Amino acid sequence: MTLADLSSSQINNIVSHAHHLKHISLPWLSPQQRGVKTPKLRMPSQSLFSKSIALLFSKRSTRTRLSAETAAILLGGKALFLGRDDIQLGVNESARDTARVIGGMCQGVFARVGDHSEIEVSPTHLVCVPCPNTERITQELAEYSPVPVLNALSSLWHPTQVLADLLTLHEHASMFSDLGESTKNHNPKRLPQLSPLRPLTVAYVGDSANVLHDMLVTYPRLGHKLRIASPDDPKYRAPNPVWDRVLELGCDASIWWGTDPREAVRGADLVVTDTWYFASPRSH
Amino acid sequence: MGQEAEKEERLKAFKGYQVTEALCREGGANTNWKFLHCLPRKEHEVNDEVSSV
Repeated sequence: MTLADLSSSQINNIVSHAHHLKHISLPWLSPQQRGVKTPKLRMPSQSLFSKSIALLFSKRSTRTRLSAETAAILLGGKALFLGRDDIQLGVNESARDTARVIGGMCQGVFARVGDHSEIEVSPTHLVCVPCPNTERITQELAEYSPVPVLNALSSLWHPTQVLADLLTLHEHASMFSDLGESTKNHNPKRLPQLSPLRPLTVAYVGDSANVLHDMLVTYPRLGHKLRIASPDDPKYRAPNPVWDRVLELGCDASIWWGTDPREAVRGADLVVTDTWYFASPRSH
Repeated sequence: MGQEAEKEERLKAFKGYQVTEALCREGGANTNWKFLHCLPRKEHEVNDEVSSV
């Protein structure tokens, strides 16, 4: 459910494989950008051939849905989008039953069944409703599903965002390197290798939310230091289930956590933040 | 907690948390620091002069 479940070498392998697949896939996605000379298109591995992946989403999404459906097509499979109005999950049917039914027909599940808060619209105004249940639903799906369940976002964790961030950082590794552009692979005939990333000091300024939680259990194991500032109130700090994983992995030694954003950004190579204020996403 | 009260409390709690060039300069970030955000980014969190990786 989180990158805490994977070893650092497994995480590096995923990022490296993602880099490889992205390189092969991009020309398929932008045919209109081709030059006069058509480049040779390479077929990505059809590892999802004749397989269908259930996209179990309890809320709307632009990037996650688009990228998941596109990825399934590129790998030769089919994504079945199951939104909150499409199936019974959590309404009439338990996560356990849902997992078994889906697992009987699909070969994988990509589940996005919660957020830090679900934003619901009432007739008069927007209200933020904390959803402690969503973490339980994701865990139950994983526990009872006969097929792999990937966490596309839950209330506590957001592993895919941190994998995507790591890929972005590796792709821009030269920005952080004294060697500049020379670290890039210039041979167009060979698949570019993932550029190594030097150890970074990463500052996070904001609320303790799912993206940060996966950063906490991942970045220190990859050699990066974390400096975090969040307001002086326990509700803006990492909850116990998250901090337990941080301690278990020994990541706490590379984490500084205070309340002053200025102190947090000291020596930072990278500054990260995430939503801490729920501006009205739609007008009433 | 109602929406307005929650908004007000958060605005107060996160005062000074907006990521800006000035914050990073005063705090002593690496002069070549980069910004990363998983989107959609909002003005409260980071001002428009800061560009992403």
